[in-house]
Amino acid sequence: MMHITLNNKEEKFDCNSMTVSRLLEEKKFTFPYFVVKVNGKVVKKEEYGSTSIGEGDDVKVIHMMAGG
Amino acid sequence: MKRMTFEQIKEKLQRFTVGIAGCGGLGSNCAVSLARVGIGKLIITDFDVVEESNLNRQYFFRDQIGKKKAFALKENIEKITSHTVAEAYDLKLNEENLPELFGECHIVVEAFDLAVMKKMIAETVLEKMPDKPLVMGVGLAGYGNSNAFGVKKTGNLYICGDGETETSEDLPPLGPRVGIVSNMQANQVMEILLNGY
Repeated sequence: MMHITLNNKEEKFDCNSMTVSRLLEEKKFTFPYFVVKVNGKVVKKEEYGSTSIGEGDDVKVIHMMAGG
Repeated sequence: MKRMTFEQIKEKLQRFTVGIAGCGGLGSNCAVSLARVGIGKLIITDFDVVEESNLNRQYFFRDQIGKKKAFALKENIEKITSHTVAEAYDLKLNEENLPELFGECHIVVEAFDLAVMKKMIAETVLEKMPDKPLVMGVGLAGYGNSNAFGVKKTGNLYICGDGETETSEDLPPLGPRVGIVSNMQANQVMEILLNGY
């Protein structure tokens, strides 16, 4: 079991770790553009598959929406 | 909020430089607000020209249609005040020129319209200039629902807007809501500069 903070909310998953790609899939983040931070550090798209998230991590997925 | 007279506010803000990434609805209004309160220097950038369709929300005038936005905005700032230096660049920002151009800025304001550009600036500032506050505008389309607006802070990233509405054909960006978000950004810049430095 893994507990993380996702966008300031506690979340539980039935595994010990998962990649950023997997998390985005599971949580169905559907906007075409977003910024991902893990423990305050930015994770770029090309690193989603190789960056893993584990117990206690603080993850932010920030949607970017057109308009200005 | 610290209680300060306008003279004290102007005197303090005079020392600071703010980068404005984009001179459209968010950038033109945010820049004008910051100039009105006496920010020392604005570095304003845009690659576009003023079009008639921009006048529903952007701080330009009919006789500026066809002019480069960065230069037209500089002109308008100089009409309002002589205390703010506006350094205007007609260019498209990218991962390479952004740190160079905004290196001297105390704060960067994200004022793009495209989501892909918002992502680019957020990742570039977080990665290459992690100590620099970035004030973004996200979620401002349509009209009404003023109670939806707020500011979310995560590290040095401040996100102003409703965080929900994306512009589209039937959810256009319009003066009132774009004005609210651009001025929330200006207000956030003031708060960081007046309280934090």
